[in-house]
Amino acid sequence: MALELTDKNFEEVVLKSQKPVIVDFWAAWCGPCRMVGPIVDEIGEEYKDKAIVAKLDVDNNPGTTVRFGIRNIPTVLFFKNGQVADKQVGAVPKSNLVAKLEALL
Amino acid sequence: MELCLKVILWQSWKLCFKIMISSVSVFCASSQKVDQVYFHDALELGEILAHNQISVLYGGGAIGLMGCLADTILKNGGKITGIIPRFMLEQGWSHKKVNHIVVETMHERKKKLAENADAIIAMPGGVGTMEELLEMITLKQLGKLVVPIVILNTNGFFNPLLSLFEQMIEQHFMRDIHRNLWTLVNKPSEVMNGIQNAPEWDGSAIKYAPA
Repeated sequence: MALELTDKNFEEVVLKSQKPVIVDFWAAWCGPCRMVGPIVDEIGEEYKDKAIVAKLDVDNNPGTTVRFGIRNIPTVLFFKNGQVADKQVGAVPKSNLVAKLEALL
Repeated sequence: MELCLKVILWQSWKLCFKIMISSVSVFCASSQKVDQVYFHDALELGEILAHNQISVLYGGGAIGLMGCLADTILKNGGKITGIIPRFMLEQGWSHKKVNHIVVETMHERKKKLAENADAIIAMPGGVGTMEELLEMITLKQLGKLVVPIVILNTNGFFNPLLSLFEQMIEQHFMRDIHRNLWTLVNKPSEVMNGIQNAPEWDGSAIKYAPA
């Protein structure tokens, strides 16, 4: 399962991480987000030793959502060394997300 | 006595239900080159929707009547969400100040616009707007959609389409009752009334679907 992020723990979990981090920005009312959610969970399971895979509910965490200029959901951000290294908008196949993560490992 | 009370409750419930429109989907042009008369109405409609605190869903575009509507709603503190296919987003067509749900296909976009609104408003537009409007009318004819469909007939833009609808009815391609599928208004200020006064419609419409 992907880690649940909040505005409070974002800094600690994502920006200070030594491993690459995937963050799935989602909302309960967003249909396409429900396609991405389970894929992100799977990736979290498969890459649990190599990366941190997490999700953030945009409705409950406006600070982080605004900070990263997230206007389109679903959006998945890929972080490396505390910086945004890549981005994927929309409900794409798992292979697209995995390829972007692999490139950061 | 009890029956009388039930009837009163039912009527007032229906009244409340009708007044409680919280979200609408708006279909309109993405062209920037259309006459000012259309922009004027898009702006006025945006102001009305924002002032009535109605949450608006639209196609997510940044220009044309779509852009004008979104700009006006944001400027007036209203709420608007775009439903935009990813390929359009990648073309840079999305409104940059609006929040969007990113879908994959045009069909998915139209489905979301249809399913998540308490009413549909169509303004003048090109073939994209027409096919969206016609699909909504078709779904309603089949009883698969029951919300009011209001056509804002700015500058008499929809008159040829309405003539075609009349011809369909006269020549028995549709029934008389199917005039109730849409509500025609001529000015943005009539849109809210148009929504409130749209004829009742429900799933049993499937009975009348065959002409």
